[in-house]
Amino acid sequence: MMNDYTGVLIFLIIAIGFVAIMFSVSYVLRPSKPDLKKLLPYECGNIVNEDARGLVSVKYYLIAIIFVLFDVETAFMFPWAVVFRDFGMFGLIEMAIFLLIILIGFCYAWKKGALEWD
Amino acid sequence: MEQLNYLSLLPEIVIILAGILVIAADLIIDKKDNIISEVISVLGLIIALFLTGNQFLNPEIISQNNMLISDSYAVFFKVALIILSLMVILISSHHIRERGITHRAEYFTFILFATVGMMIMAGSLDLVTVYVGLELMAISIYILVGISRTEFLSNEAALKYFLLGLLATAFLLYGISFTYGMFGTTNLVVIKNFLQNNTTANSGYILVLVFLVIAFGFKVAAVPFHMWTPDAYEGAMTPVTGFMSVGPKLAAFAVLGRVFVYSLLTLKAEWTLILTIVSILTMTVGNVVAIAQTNIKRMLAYSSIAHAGYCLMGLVAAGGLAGSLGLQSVLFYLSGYLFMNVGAFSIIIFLNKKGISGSELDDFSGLNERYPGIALMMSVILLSLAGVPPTTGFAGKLYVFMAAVKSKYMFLAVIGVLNSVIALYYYLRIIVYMYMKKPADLKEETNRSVPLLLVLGIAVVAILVLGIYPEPVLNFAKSAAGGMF
Repeated sequence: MMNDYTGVLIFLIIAIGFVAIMFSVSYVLRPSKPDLKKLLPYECGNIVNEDARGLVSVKYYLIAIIFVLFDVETAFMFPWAVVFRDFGMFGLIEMAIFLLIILIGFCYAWKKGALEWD
Repeated sequence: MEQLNYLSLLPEIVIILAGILVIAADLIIDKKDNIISEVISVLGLIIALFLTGNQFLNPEIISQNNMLISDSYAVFFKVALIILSLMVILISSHHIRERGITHRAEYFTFILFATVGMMIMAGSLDLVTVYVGLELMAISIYILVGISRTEFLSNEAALKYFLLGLLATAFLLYGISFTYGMFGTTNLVVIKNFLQNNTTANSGYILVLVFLVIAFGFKVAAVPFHMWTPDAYEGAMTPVTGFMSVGPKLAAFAVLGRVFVYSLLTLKAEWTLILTIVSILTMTVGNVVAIAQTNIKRMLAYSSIAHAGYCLMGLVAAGGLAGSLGLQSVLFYLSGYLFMNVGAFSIIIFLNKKGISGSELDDFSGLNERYPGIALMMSVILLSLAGVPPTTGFAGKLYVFMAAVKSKYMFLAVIGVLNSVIALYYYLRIIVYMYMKKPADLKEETNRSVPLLLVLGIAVVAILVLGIYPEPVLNFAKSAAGGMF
């Protein structure tokens, strides 16, 4: 019953087995003498000077979200513009409704101060 | 290109319009304490309810390019969802002001959008439409859970729900892609016809079933996909908890019914087995863990898990000899569950004190001395949740168990009955607290808004009416379920 997928299973086993063998062989063969310098995180050869988990202002996130929103809007309009002739009036009205909804959302974001930095 | 039939889409369009109007009105009206959002939402929902009722009275089954359909099955769920949404808006109106939610318009808009998403799910005839509706619902509810932005618990709940919900969505999409691989389409009607004409077994079908069960098991909070439920229910604002404990469950069961019972009926040997196991686990884990809870919202979360288990039992029965009787019992159970849960959460909102959530077990101590009426209503709701006659909880369980017995799933019904006994313990414990304990402190509750009491009254009356005279709803459910076979 599972014949069709036996190949996938064998592939999975080989993939996992290959990685496991590679890691274990190199673990057995290589010398292991860790010191402080070796255990430091590698950052292009520079000396690490800061914690990687630095804080970024949440305002960037808000701006990014609004940007993505309008990016997606254009992404929607592009295929619509390509087949615009086939859709005719129907497509035009649909797109107008879509833009109107986006516009109201934009006005809302603007009025609520999402576009202001402070 | 086939044109859309806007008439049958009107309820959804009206609700979407109402949602946009709420946002627009919030931009124009600057007055601090207006109730314009509530008014627009309630009006929109009432109009939508009438339009959906009109679809019920003039049942022309119209499908939109085979993507969406407004048959009586969809209409049943749509009516339930609109009623749910109405009740939730009425119970939140006062509460969100007390909790100091600043973005009130957003709150109501997202409730309306989530409702539309669930309505789309209920009427979907294509897995792609299911996905679109599910996302509209899920994203709106993620935001609703996290809407009390300054509260730690709310943030935690929203993040947990969001991340796990994302995982469920990924499973759904993966399942849909496998469906496409197996059948060459995502359309449920075409899949049904394909399966009827090609009876050769294909092991890939099981993969499809498993992925779909995982995705919707998450939405109905079935064990083992229930981990998010208690945290999300506890952290969310109480009206949102009421909304998300009923709405997604209704919508997901609507889809489960349409996909499994309607479309994949030929594979019933496989999916009834999966759902039987999930159902037993869900009932048992939900009820047993609920015993240990001291927070009422967490307890209701586990109890809602258990209720999902009973509904799954009805779904299993629908795949057996009981057929449409099984699906009918699920629909009836869910309609009663709607009123029980909204009622229970309304009472938690009523007991909400300033700064305290009002959802600890001790908050119910001696409730009878302070508010005898509320204590009585809570007792009715709890007895209904436990399944004691003459309430809808009893009637619903009766029909579900009956369907299971008819499908020769005797052991499933026995497990269900045993679970009801366990459930009786933790529901009755609250009643004991209300009637036999001394009140802990007499701090005045703040929420006594008229809409809340109205909803509470409606819920209690509905629980009793559905328990004593279930025929109308049962017949509605029968015609809805009958269309699926």
